[in-house]
Order: sequence, then structure tokens, then C-alpha cells
Amino acid sequence: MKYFIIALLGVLSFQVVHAQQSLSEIEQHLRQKIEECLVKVYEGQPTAYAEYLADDVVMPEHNLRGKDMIYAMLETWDIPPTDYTVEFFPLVQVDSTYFFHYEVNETSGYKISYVEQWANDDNELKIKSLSIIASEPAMQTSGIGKTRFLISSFGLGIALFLLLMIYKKAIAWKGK
Amino acid sequence: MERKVKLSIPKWQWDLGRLKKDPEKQFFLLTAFWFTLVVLGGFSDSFYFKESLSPTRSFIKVHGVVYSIWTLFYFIQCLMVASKNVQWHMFIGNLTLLLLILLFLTGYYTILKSAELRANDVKGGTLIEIAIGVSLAFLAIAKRKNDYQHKRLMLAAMTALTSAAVQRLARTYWNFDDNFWLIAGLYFAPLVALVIFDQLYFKKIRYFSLILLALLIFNYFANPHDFIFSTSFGKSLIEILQRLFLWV
Repeated sequence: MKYFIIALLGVLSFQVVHAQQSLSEIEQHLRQKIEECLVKVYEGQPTAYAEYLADDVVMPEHNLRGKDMIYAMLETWDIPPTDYTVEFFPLVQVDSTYFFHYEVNETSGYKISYVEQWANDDNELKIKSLSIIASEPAMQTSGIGKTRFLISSFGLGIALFLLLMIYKKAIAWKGK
Repeated sequence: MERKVKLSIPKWQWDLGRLKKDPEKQFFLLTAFWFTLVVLGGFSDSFYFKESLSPTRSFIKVHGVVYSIWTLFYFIQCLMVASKNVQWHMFIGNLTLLLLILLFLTGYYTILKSAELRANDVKGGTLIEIAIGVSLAFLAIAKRKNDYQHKRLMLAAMTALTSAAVQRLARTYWNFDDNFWLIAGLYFAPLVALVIFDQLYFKKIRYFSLILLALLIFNYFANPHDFIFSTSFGKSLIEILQRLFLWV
């Protein structure tokens, strides 16, 4: 009985280790795909990204459904050739789907964050759902930017000054 | 006896004499600048100077264009009156009837369609706001023979119809968190300024602008749409609107 339990634990451990290795293999595989894709995107081919999309892919935050709609969106991207680095976060597996998060940091300071849900689609891993968030350099999470503050202050100041002048004239107004 | 109907383009002139003398003309021209800049600033990130990765849907573009033309019309109309181009003001006024209908249709379609696409509840408050704005504008046109009421009704209509711009000005252009009193202040600023102006200009209490301000204050703070659309009548109304506009 003792040896049976040890053998069983050994098999289970092997399965766990094997599964862990599978996840890391998948992660490596996806990383390679993404890196190859990004090279093409930054060479002026943003639609290269569509190669990894499933036909029924969705982009919930922009309410885009289907590969065609997202392909049309990718065609509108105007990404100039620029140097960049990619920061990958660990791949997370939930049942038979994989969640992949990575951030592309351009030397201009522009940052694009990708969160993708990969799943098996016709014996190949494809993206079923994605979220892309782009942020400009030094973007504030809250609070007005300097330029807008200056423009708005100037505009509001002028409006208030003119209003007070109009009120002054209204007080002095003796009728038509 | 035959009647000869002569269709002609109104005579154009540029006489700023009245504008320089009459503070009422100056006040309404200032409100025209205010509404134009509020709309431009409020919708700069999401419409006019949009830099998002996702394309703007067609119905939103149509909605944006129609409302932009309406704002521009308000500006032009104030300018026409200020520069003594009353004939042009009346000529352009004929076009605003059609524009108001488009305003209503595109506004309602945008609200209902956006709710459908996002699987959210329909924004009843915005539906009411548009209904109030369009109604006030129609009333303003009906009262066009009465300068005093016509101008004030139009200003109240503009206030109601630019509520979305005011919210976006505070939240996205200025990037402030949801600041209730800032948004309320910006929203009521033109009407409050009008109430103060009327008391100073006419040297006695003028109730018309006060009533218009009270109407919008009631709608803003009492939120009658919460009550209306929670009733079975309100829910049926939403369903009817969805069937009419979305053909569902």
C-alpha cells in the first residue's frame, strides 16, 4: 500500500511538472509569435497582428466583434517605425484558455498595453478576446494638463472679464 | 388678382452699432462664444481631435455633425442679430426647424443604439434632457415675435442640449474626476448669468429667466427620469422608442 501511494504521488508530480513545462512552452511559443508580429507592425504592417486573431475574436472595450472589424481598425493604425521594448508578464492559464499581458514601450514614451485571451481554434492557438490601451508619454491619471490649464484659464478669464463689463453696461443701461 | 412672390437672398450688412450700444446683444453673443467653446473643448478628445485606436461609428459621426451645426447656428444667429442682419437671422431661422428634427432623431438614436451596443440601460436622463432642449427651441421659434422670450428660450434650450459637452469638458478635457458641483456650475453658468443680467438690465425682477432656470434646476437635481422610467409606463415608452428607432 505504501509503495502504491508513493508511486501515485510520483505520477501526479510528474503530471504537475509536465503541465508546468507545457505552460512555459506555450508562453515561449506565444512570446515568439508576438515578437515576430511586433517587428512587422513597426515596419509599417499593423495588419500583421490580424494573423493571430480567431474569426470570432472580440474587442469588448471598443465593441468590435469579428476578425473583419478588428482588421479594419488595424488598417487605420498609423504607427511610425520606431525603437521599442517589450515587457512580458507571466502567462496565466484558466481552464483551456491563456491570458497574456505585455506592454510595448516606444522610445518616444508612447506605451501600448495588450491583454489577450488565447484559446484553441482549429488546433491552433488564436486570440479570442483582446484589449489594447495606448497611452501618451507622461500621461496624468487625473488632473488637467499644463497646456489645457493655460488655455482654459485664459478663456475663462476673458469670459468673466467681458461678463463683468456687460453687467456694468447693463446697470448703466437706460433703455432703447 | 395674382400675387407676386419674390424669393430673394436677404441683404447683407455689417453694422455693429447696436452691438456696441446694447449690452443685451453683447450678452447673447458672449453666450454664443461660451457654448461654442464648451462644445469644442468637451468633444475635442472624443470627436473633433480624436486620437483613439478605434474608429468612430457612423451614427456617432452623424450625431456629432448635426449637433455641431446646431451649435454653429446658435453662434451665427447671435452674430446676425448683433450685426443688424435681421433678415439673415430670419432666413437661417427657417433652416433650424429641420435641424431641430434632425437633432431629436440623431440624439435619440445615438442614446438608444449606444445602450444596445454596450448592453447597458438606456440613459433616461439624457432622453429627457434632449426632449426639454428641443421643446424649448421649438417654443423659442414659436415665440420669435417676442424678442425677450425668444432669446431666453433659445439660451435655455442650448443649456439643456449642451449638458453632455459640459460633462465631458470637466471629465475628459480637464481630466477631473467626477466633480458634481463643477459640472453643475458649468451647466448652469449661462442661465445664472442670464438671470443676473436681466435683473440689472431691466432694473426690476424679471421672472421669465428665473422660471427657465428653475425648470432646469428641477430636472437636474430632482432627476424625474429616475421616477418616470422606473414605472411600467416609462419602461413601455423605452420599448416603443427602441422599436421606432432601432427596429427591434
